[in-house]
Amino acid sequence: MTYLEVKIDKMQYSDTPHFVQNRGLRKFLGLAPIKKNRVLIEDLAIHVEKEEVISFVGPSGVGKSTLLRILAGLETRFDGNVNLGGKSIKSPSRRIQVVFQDNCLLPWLDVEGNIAFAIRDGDHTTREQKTREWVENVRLSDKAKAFPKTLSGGEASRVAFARVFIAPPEVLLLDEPFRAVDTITKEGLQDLLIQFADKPNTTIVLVSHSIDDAVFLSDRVIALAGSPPTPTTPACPLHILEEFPVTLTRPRERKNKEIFELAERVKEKLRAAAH
Amino acid sequence: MIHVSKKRLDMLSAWIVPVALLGSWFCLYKLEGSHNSFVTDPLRVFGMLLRNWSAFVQNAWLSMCRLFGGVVLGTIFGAASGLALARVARLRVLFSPTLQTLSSIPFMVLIPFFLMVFGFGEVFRVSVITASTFLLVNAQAFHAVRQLNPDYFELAAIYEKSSWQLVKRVLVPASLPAIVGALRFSLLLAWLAVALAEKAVAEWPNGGLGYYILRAKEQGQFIDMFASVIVLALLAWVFDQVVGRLQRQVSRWCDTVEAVDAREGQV
Repeated sequence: MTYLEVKIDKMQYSDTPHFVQNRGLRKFLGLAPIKKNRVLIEDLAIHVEKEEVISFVGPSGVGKSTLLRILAGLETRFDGNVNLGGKSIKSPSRRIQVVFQDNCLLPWLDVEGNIAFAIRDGDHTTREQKTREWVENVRLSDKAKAFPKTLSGGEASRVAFARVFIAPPEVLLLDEPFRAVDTITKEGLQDLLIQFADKPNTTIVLVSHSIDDAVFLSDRVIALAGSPPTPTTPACPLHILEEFPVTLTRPRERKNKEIFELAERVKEKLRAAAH
Repeated sequence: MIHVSKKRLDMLSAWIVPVALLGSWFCLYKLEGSHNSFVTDPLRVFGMLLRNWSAFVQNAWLSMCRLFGGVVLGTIFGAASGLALARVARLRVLFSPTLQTLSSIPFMVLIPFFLMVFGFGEVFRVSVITASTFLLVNAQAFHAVRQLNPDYFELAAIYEKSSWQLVKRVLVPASLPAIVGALRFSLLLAWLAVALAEKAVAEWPNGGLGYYILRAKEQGQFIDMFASVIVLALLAWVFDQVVGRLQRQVSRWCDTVEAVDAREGQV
């Protein structure tokens, strides 16, 4: 049964700034507006089941992050709709939370403050205790009062993870969450994510550059393609190249041969599409 | 050998330049004082300071109250309007061009206008200082918010933060370093504004320090003038120290050389 559904009929992207198009001197002289719109997404439909973990993989610049922003309700300039449990999503809410690409920690709040930012306003009773608990869960007790500027990439990622886990969403969207972290930290974060995924009523959508990570974590990997126009080829809107179901049972072994083989198949497909 | 800690050494070093300046003033007087009436005797200046101490304190206190009131009001109004302008497009369209133009006018030329509106009194004096602070703080608070990463606002939207929470947790802490920075800078202008405002509403003996200085200058009483300048300089220094401390406190999170030095306990 479909739980999260995104259906995009058309999303356009304007290459020329608004003021060039129809204001200023051009308008004064009565010239036609410059139109350089390009279709970014056309006729794309993605269905996610409840408690499923899916990954988007594909080359940089294909529109993976845009897709994630649409799912979060942060991007609404498109024709189509996003449905969560039968209800249309029109604006961001805490039902669908995001781990941003650059973690998006508020630089003026310390580690505790950033984690507590996710707690509902006015919920003072458990605020301190919950925050302390999650500071410990991500092993940052000695950095509880540190500002984001002083944190390493891995520490910042851990804060971003704690911020979404402290007030768990129904759908968690992650935009390349393991990009700036070392292997050991990455494994720790992935374990946290798997723990979270095992809980009831949690659906996860992941954007990843690492296909091995995507296969290891997901129930389904969706390979995406699409390209901006080049002098020799026309633009190609974002579309699904192929869906790869991952049928392995959990818990999974990181060094599993099947994971490795499936990842190779995904890579092969992406390589073929790149030519 | 006497052991002096680094911190104490830094504190002592801060006195080298002022003492040297005083010393050169003294030398200048010894060389030139006999045939140039503009060079006053530093000893007589300090003598005047001690003799007329209560008059100086009284005038300084008056000026300080005016300055403090004006600067606080200007900062509050400036910060509030700067944040509002930064977030509300309609307000920006309405007020930004006017504020921009007003900022580029030297505020001294506005003094007659303020006199007309507020009359010859205390409200006028404070309003001149408020206005000079307002324009600076307003611009800095505005730009601090406009330069913010848009992701922060998306994050606040995801966590369904109310407008009040957005102000408290995002807008104010994000712009405080800029606001206090502008406040510190505007203090320099504010002393000038005090003097000019006090000059415009001449009143004796409650004119204030600024009036005292300008009056002494016009009457050629250079000893009096220098004595009050010294009081003013000391006051300005104290204000700057206090605001500087505040600035370091609210800028601790920043990614600046100053913030790094402050975290490591450097000067």
